[in-house]
Amino acid sequence: MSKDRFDELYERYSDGELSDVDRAQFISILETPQGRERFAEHAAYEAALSEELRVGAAARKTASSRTLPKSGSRRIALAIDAEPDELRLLKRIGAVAAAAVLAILTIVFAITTQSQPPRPLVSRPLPVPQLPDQRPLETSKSEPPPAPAAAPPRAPSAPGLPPPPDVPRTVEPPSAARLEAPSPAPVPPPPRVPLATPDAEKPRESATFVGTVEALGGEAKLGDQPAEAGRGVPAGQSLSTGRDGYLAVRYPDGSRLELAGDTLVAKLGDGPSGKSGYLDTGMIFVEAAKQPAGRPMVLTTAQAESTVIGTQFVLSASAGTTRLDVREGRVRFTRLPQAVSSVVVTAGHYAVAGGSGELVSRPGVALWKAPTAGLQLWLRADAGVKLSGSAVAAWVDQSATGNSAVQDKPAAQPLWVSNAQAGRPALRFDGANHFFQLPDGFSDFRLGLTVFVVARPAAGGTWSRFIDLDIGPTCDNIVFGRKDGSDRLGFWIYANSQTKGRVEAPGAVVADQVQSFSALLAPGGHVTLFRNGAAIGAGDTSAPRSIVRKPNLLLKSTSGGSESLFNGDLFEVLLYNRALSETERSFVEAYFYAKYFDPATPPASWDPTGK
Amino acid sequence: MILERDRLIREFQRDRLRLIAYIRSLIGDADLTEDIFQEVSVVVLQKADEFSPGADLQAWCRGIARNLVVREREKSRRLRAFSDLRIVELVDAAFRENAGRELLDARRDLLRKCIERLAAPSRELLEQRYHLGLSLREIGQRLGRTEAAVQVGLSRLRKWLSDCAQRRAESGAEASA
Repeated sequence: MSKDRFDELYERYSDGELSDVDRAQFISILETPQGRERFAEHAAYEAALSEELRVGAAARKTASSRTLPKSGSRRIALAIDAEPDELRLLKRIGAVAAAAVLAILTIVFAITTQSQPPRPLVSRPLPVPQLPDQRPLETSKSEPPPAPAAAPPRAPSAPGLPPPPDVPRTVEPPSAARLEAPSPAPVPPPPRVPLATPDAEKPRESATFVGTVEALGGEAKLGDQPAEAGRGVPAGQSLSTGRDGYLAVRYPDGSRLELAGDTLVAKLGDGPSGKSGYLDTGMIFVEAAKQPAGRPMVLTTAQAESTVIGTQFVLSASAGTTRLDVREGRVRFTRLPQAVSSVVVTAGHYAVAGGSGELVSRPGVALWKAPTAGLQLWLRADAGVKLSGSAVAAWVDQSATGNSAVQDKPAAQPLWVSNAQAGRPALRFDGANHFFQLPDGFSDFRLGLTVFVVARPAAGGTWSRFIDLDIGPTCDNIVFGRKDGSDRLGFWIYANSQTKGRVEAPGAVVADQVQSFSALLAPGGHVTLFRNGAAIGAGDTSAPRSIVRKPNLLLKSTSGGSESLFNGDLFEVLLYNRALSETERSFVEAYFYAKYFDPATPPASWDPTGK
Repeated sequence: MILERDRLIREFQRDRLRLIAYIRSLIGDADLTEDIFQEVSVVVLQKADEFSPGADLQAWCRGIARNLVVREREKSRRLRAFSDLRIVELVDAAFRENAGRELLDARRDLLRKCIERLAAPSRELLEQRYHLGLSLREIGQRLGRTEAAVQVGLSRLRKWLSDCAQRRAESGAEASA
């Protein structure tokens, strides 16, 4: 564990923003004596810093009101030595004189600019975020750290409190005269390199920014430029993602818009009539904060318009069809272009616009759409089951790749159970003989891998696998299942008989409960394990080589102890040859949730968003 | 009895920063940390006579602080993020195990001198974090930077201050030798 990573986790912990993966890692550090020592040192150091800064600020008498006790605080006010009356009087005289000069300057400034045509009001985002100074803050080890160069001029703001950048700030375009005008309370320049260059003299383009790029992954663009986290999103701009892309935009009011892969959103706006956008194709997840009265968020597609007051929903658009799935709240869904037919879709319902059918809100979000890009295997007990009596001889792959699972030997064929959970069927494996074979292939995982399994494991099965690809002599296995313990979920990869490590989550597999398990392998080899949508472990393993894997097994391991076959019910398996984005993964988990669990009594640990 | 009480208060004063660090580790909020510390101080003063000589004062104070933090958690929604019992256990263990260790807070005077040498923007960055208690996100929003950039910037500043204090300690030791 690097010091940088510890620092990062400590800071997130301090801000109360540890993710599940962070938490697991942070706990694993704190479980070591060295980690606890580092924590105690770090905490004491920060407390000392805090104290020194507090004392220093009080001494400078320039601190904000937060140095004084808040209203209702139990804190005792810091006693600050009173100034001599004479000194106070002199300061007051000086302040009055300064105010008079300031007023005169302001009047002169106003007169000289009166003849100019009014400038349009525009909103600007804060300056493009830059990395902190890459060099240490001191010039040499014996010299004091240099002051960062002057920061770019900023708009006046409330004393000592710059406006939050997420709120598009309304400022007038800067001009030389304005920049020289006295500022009532100049914001301290941030410690970074100046943005001012000779180009800064050129007139700037004005734009209204509706939000900020909060997170991204893979191919993600703002207009035709690669998106960058922290960058403002200009009004009217388009957002797009590639096959492996993901992009999240946060609005000033906290609303979020997440784009799944292969998605294009155009004309993003936020004006007097509310927020707006056009989903051209793909899928977006929207988490809308409560919108002001008369200013709803309106998202349109070619077929429909969704009017939002404050809710969570998924909107997906493809050629000829738009589908709305509402997770929370309510959305008015209106067919376009006539806009005469509309329906209010409430939580747990969906509606589809397309063709000429009536616009209807239907119960159930069971059909939350699993992304299809990169889907290599999709086995589900409610589709494609080929029975031989009550046993299953083949399980037809529902993806486009045709990786169907087969079992020729009757004694090794699992049973089909029509109502195993929530009215849904499952395949029942006996843990002694039953398993499936998969076709050769599964060769290209350069973009990562994501695997999902919904199962109800029986007790035991210490070495049983969900999936074990390439069990042959070349030893390029991709393994997802249990290892060394019936409750220990694991995922690991061999590359030419070598592995960088196995990622395991002890206590993850609970016997006799329906659970979803998933593993997400990023292209670099980093793995995150999930149970019921929540991250439960992370680590590194080898990156898979691109080779034709064979033979491939489902629910059986050829290595390990005697309990190498899965015992229990299997409902569904999805395998992607890419790392799904966070949004996409949450779609799949939400799909499982709606399909296999009673929404009124979800599992205690259930977290469809994984957040 | 009076002597015992004086000794207890001296020890409490000596370890106060460690206690503040502990409280801050549990709740994250600088203002609330100060509030709770003051409440702990009041309780310690009120119950000083009940404290058994030879018992672990730091552990006692941490216990009082922990109870107050739990009470605050119940009142404040913002503090829910810090209600992870496993982490609280480990934070407890961290301070318990390192109670006797000399931490960097022992070099406060050197740290102060190093802070004084910081350029104003760097000091302001530190103040936003450790004095105003702003989150990385809030600071990033103010400065137009990403959270990661703010985190790295703070990390570098801490490192510089730590090195600076260390150098001063060494040069001071050499000068006095």
